[in-house]
Amino acid sequence: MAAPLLAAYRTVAELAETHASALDKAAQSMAASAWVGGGAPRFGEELIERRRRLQAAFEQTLTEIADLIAKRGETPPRPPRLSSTIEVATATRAAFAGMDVEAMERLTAELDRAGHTLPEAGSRLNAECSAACVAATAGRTVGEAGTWAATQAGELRKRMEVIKQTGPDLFASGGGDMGADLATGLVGYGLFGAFAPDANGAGTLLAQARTGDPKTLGKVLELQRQDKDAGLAGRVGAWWRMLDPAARQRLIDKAPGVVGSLNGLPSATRDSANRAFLSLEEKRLREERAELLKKQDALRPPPGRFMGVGGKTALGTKIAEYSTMLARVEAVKAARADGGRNGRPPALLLAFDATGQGRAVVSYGDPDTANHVTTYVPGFTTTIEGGGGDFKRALTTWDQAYRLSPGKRTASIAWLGYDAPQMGQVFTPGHTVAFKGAAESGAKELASFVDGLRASHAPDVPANLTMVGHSYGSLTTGQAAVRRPFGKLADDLVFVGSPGLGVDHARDLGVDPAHVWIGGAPDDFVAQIGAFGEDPYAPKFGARHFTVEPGGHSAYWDDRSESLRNIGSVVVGEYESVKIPPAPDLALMKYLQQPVPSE
Amino acid sequence: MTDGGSKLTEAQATARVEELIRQVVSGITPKPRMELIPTSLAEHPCIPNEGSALTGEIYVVRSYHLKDLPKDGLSAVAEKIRGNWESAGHKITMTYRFDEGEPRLSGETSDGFGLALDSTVEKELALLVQSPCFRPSTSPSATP
Repeated sequence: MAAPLLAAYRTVAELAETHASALDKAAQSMAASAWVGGGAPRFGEELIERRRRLQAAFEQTLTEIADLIAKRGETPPRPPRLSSTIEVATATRAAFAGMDVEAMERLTAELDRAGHTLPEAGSRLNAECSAACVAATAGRTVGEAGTWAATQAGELRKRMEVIKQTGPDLFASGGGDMGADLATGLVGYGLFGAFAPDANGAGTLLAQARTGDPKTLGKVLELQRQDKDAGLAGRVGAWWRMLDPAARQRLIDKAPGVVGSLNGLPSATRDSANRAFLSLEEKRLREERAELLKKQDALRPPPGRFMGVGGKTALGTKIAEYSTMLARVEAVKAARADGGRNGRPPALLLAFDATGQGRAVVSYGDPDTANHVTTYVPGFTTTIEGGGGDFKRALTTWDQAYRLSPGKRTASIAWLGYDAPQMGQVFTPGHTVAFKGAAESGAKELASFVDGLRASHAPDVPANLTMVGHSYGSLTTGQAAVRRPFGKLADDLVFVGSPGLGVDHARDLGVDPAHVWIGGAPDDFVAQIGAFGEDPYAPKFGARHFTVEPGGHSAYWDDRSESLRNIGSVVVGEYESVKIPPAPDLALMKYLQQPVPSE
Repeated sequence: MTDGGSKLTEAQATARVEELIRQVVSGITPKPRMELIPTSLAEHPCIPNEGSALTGEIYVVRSYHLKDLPKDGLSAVAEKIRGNWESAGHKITMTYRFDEGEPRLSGETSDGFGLALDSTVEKELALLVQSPCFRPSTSPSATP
């Protein structure tokens, strides 16, 4: 009397053989893609769970029918084991790795296929279960897996279409042909955006901003400054890419300085917005200062009359503030003017803010399409208005990279993007050069900025990123590296004139110590302070040293200097060319420490 | 290095840099094609040893890629350059990776001019001569 049950078993076994693996390829693809972050891990988890339930549904049904067969006194077939686990890849890829467009399109096709086949399989399974008098839940589970897969395939296809329409440059290698890559942020927050966690509300803010409210973008900038979410730049980049061009222009027109400061946007867009903002700021500052000067003139006493200084001082202070802000505008204009001449690439303005202590980030060369990207982080007493030297350092670094690797594109960035400690702040908590506070705050902004470089870089262009931290800026850079372990900040970290990095060993910076480089001029007193963490020049710190000739604390960037040439070698990835200082002659050192015999 | 305080004029510095370049490549065989790196012609301000405010001093640079040299003969060319430099009475301060065929060297004159030779990624030589810092006759103003 078990014949009908045996027939049902065979039918269900055939259904299982055909359909239990319907989500395998899609799940394997997502498991291999989860590393892109954003919504990809959660989407992957849900897909893997749906697959598990699908397989379990068939397994359970076969087991139940087999039990019924056994109860009829027949020997039941052994139900096959259909479940298998899939390992999720979490390994970090290189800083600028992208996601293959074809892989995403195959995933969508697999989900589509499952979406077509599983609902019918579910109905048939239902029918067999009813006939065999086992619970019908399995059929429902299989059907729902199909419905879910169909819905996700439709959503992914829709999002891919938006990405293609709003970012045709992504497919420059042939309109979606083989070899085109998508930036990871675009995959994580664009394709899989519906699954991206939004603990800090950035997704909600960006959704509000797309309707044209730029104030919400200011709140996104605040999240960026606080480095609340390492995925923020990827999310912002994906959001921008998927905005229609009219909406983008509206936002740029309404708030160019805010748009220009958003990490994750294409560098060319940031430059265009920031240049517009720079002009507007210059006009505003000149007009407002002119008004203040008129007021000051009106307050001047007639000749021979003395006036108390109270009111005049406040106005004078205000005028001086405006003069400083205008000096920042001029400094940035001068820095930009060095680009696009004498063989140097155009300068891109990636951030500007004249207020407070100021912000200016200038890149010589487009970091989105460069093969070698380097970011210079200055330190103590850095100001925008006094920053001529800092921009020049980024320039000479570009010159050196070009000299050593003329066949590749380099982008050399001067990042004056944090409140570097100033002389007058030595006793100001949170700002003093004596403690880590300013570096820790700066590190948040720097880490966010580098996230932006990765999010906006063309994934089809192989690239390496080198951070160069100078003086207190080396501490800021070191702390940014700590915020991005597993090499997520950069491929190489170079420190010059460093008072310490706030860690005890090079490996604490989250990169292979073989990619942590340190140079100090023999006469650079800052390099001898060892004020923050273990002395990074000590052999036990584990960094790789490079030679620097005498020249004090800031001669690391002279064109012919060993220091600049060594830095250039790291920037272009020619590590073997970096000159390492000879090992000290210990016998001589011991001899020299002996006391001089008296006469 | 940023020596500071040299009494040179820009014309003198340029002439001397170019003379040193000619001296140092003299007699190299095969004769390389000297491709001037355009960044040479930019203004090169001296950045002081402390802080980042510009001092108003500049230096002159002439930087070349030496093309059409045999890729396995760079060290021999670098030896010739070293020899020329020393024969002219100047000092070599650093040599590196000659044995590996990717030579680097540095040198200086007694009047503060510097020489830098490096091997490029494309297996060519990059030659640079730099003047000491001097104040040009029309000083660029320091940033206010």
